Amino acid sequence: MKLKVNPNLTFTKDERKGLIFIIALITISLIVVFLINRFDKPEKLALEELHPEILQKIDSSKINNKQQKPNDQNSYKGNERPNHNFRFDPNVISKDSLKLLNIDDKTISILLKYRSKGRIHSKEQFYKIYGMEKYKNRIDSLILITEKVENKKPNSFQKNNWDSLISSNKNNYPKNKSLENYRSKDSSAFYPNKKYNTDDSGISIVTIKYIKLNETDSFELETVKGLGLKLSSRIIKYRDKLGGFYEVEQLEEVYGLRQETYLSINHLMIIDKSKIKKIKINHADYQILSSHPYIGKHKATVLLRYKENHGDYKDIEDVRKTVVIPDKALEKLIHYLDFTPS
Amino acid sequence: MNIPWRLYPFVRVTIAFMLGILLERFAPDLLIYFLPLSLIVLFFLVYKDYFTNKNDMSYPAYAGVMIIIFFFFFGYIRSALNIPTLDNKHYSHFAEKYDSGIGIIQEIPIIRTSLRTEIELTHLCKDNNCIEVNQKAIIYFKKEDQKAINYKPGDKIYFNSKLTLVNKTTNPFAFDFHAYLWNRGITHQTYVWHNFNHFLIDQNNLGFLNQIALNARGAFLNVFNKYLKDPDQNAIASAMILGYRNMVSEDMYKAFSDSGSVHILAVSGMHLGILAFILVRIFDKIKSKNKIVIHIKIIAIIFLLWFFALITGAAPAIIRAAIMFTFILYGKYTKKLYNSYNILAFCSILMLAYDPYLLFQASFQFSFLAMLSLSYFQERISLWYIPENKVLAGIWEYVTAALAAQILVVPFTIYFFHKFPVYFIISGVVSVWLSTIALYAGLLVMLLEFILPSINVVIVPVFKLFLNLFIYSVKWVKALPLASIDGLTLNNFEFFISAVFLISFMFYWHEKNFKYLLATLLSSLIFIFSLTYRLHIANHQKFALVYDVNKSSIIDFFDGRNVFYFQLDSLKENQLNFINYNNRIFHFTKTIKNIDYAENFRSDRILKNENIIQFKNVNFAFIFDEKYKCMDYSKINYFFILSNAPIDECSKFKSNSTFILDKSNSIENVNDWKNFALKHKINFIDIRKTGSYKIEI
Repeated sequence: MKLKVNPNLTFTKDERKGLIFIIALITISLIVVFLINRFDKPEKLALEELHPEILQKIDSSKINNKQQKPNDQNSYKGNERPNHNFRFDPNVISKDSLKLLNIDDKTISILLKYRSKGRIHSKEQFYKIYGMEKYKNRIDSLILITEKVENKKPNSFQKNNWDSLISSNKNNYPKNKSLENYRSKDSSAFYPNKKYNTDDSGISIVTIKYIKLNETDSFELETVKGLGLKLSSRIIKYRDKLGGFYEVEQLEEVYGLRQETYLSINHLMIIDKSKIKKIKINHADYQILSSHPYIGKHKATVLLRYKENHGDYKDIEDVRKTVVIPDKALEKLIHYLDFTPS
Repeated sequence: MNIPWRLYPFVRVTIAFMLGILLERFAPDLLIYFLPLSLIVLFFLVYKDYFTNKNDMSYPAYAGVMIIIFFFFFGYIRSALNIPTLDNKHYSHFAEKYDSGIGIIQEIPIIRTSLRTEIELTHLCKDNNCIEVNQKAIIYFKKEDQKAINYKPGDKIYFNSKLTLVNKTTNPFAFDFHAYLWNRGITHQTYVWHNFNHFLIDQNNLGFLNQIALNARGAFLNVFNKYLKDPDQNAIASAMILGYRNMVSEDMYKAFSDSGSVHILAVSGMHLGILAFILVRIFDKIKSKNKIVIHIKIIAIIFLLWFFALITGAAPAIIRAAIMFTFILYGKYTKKLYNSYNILAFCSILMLAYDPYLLFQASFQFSFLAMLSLSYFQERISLWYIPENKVLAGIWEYVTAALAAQILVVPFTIYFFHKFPVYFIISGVVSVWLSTIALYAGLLVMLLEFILPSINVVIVPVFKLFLNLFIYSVKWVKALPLASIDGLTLNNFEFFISAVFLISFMFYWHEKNFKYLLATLLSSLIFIFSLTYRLHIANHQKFALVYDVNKSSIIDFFDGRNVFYFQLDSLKENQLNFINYNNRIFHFTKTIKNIDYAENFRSDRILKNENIIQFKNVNFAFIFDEKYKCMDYSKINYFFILSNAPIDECSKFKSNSTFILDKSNSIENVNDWKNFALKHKINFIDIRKTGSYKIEI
């Protein structure tokens, strides 16, 4: 049979040989690769077999992880909580520190309730708290109960002494903060804000360390009773976002800081308004504006748009005209705005 | 048409092979038919060629057709086997269960809105258990991450984050990042947002050759760092000579792309050609007819070329050029006949057999089209005018090269990049010439630094001078009026028609046959008709489009060729380029106006009052502002519910209106609104599920 095919479609014998050789080459390599991939099952290995040295690094990175992400609630869900071991006094330990010890929330709340009614004097008493028994093996060696030293409690005579002390130092204390109020609380537990200096006569003088809220760091804050690792770093983070606090009441806005905690710490805080970092609203870009807690993303957009259309903000009234910021927020925001023209 | 196909056996089979790959992309389920068919064809070929009577005169005709059919099947099969997830060890099988991993960094992190690099995964881990995996993924770090910015190719790192699928974009005409990564065998990405969640385990884990090339590149980069103090000079020299583009600023890059000289910045086949030219000149000084000497010469040149290709990062264009020059040089020295089309076809079939998805990568397409265009048109264009003056002849050569290389590339440039560099001939002559000298000087500086560093005192100023002139020329061309025409679009049909136009034009030029001229004219007529039709549609379009943007909102109102857009946050320009830029130019947008939320306005057909927008007879309301609670929305057709707006129980909604919830709402919030909508018989659109949403008006 003769077939009429365009001669342009034919290959010479040499070309055919060459092409078939190439086909064979490619096909064989393909088949080999394909078979290897198909039947080579992935191997399972423990991490330390792979790189024995990296386990240590991973551990340290995990600890870092927890320290640097105190805001991340999710990382403490269920059994994934970190297991830190440190010595503690059940009479003073904060809720956050208890969480770090990996004690479940229910038991923690029972302990706090129990503690609010009276002191824990012994380990036995501690384990009587419902739910605490199951942690005995792990935390038994960590419990450190410091007994109240009766003679250090200021008596009526010493009270007068105290008052004179206050009057002489009055100017150093923040206004409206009653030291009486402070003293009525349980002051026996150890924490570094209060120092007991016992002079020769056996009279103890309490010196209180005040915390400059706009200059402090989370380590110093952590020493305050009631503020754990998480809360103190949250306060610092919130302060940095704001640019500084202008009144102590703003602490209540910190996420997770309960009112009881706030009432127990507010008298310890001093505020220096000159340390507040103001936003130059006529210079600020979207990043700066939107990251401020009182502004946020979409208000920032509107503020910027308003500026584009109407020129610089001259005073707070101009900001009010944008309508997006409610008056209450505006009252707060006024402390953070700088109207230097651009 | 009388193309002497007989002379181009490889071109024939390569075209069949490419068609096979293309078919696989559009009809991926034919493998079970093609596999046995191709085996039968192959058996027939081998059997006939080797085991039967060799005097059958009709056999070559059968065989010719069979071979072409076989290569078509072969392309299909090769492409079908290339699906990355076929591999048992591919990480995508395990990405769900494992939450950390180990991998080798493949390239220097690229700084965009975040740091991005490719990582070849070796293991995926959870707790203490790891599983062996392979293939590449994309890893992102924070832009400020000092640890990540210092990672080099070959660094083995541990990262603590989960791999997630790269999602397909649903925004119309947006750049398809999913397809782009799929073509490179990548299906997943991971975000490592904290610098304590990743760390270096080990260094120098690339293959032997790659590691040597990398170290060599590091050493050469240090030479440039030493002599070039000006950051622009250093960046351009590193990019142009060593393929290290990380230092080039965005402005600089834009200047290059607008002036049409971006191919100089990316080390391309041209650079390898320049290098090959000078190497041949040098080695030709050794005159010998001894076969061994000749072979040593070939091997030395080819080795140096491949080494240069490896140093500069081995992009597809470079590999293509290196393979081509290997054959051309071999042909030249062994005095064998060679044909550039065959070599080009052979290169592409080798590369496509290695990775068929290269066919869909822009760098591969541009490289081959430019080369094809150059080899077909340059010869013909240069016949237009034959200068006698030597200087003129030199300039004419550059002009013809620039012109010839552009012809086939133009539709691709417009299709992919929506712009056209007008003065490509000027940059093709001036910039290319200056960059060639700068390239020689740069290579000399690098070489001398390791032999006779003292001579560099003389060479470096020359190098700097030409580098400066080169940068200046690029900036000058960019600054010329109308340097770059932006906003050009082609739809798929127009792209196809322009290909028909070019091919028939080539045929006409080749044969001077009237019917090809007719085809050329006809295709251009169809092209113009299609464009006019689209423009006509654009003049009368009226619709609103809610884009699919992560954690934010963009809504465009198209009123004819004017766009009014609402945007919740100010996104960066390069982010927007991926979201709405293409869509706007595809609709021939003339003016773009921002809808200021704080201000009311009206245009011909659009009226904005407080949080209500009236577009012709359709009403829209924005719900995210607490100011507008307890309103009467009984005349509103569509509600844009944005940035976690709380449920508004007290407002009055019309039943049969539509809530549109985009990604600025959390999933919980969307569900709340969904329940609310169901209760009140209101329609509901979740951008997370439906993708970008268009409302015709």
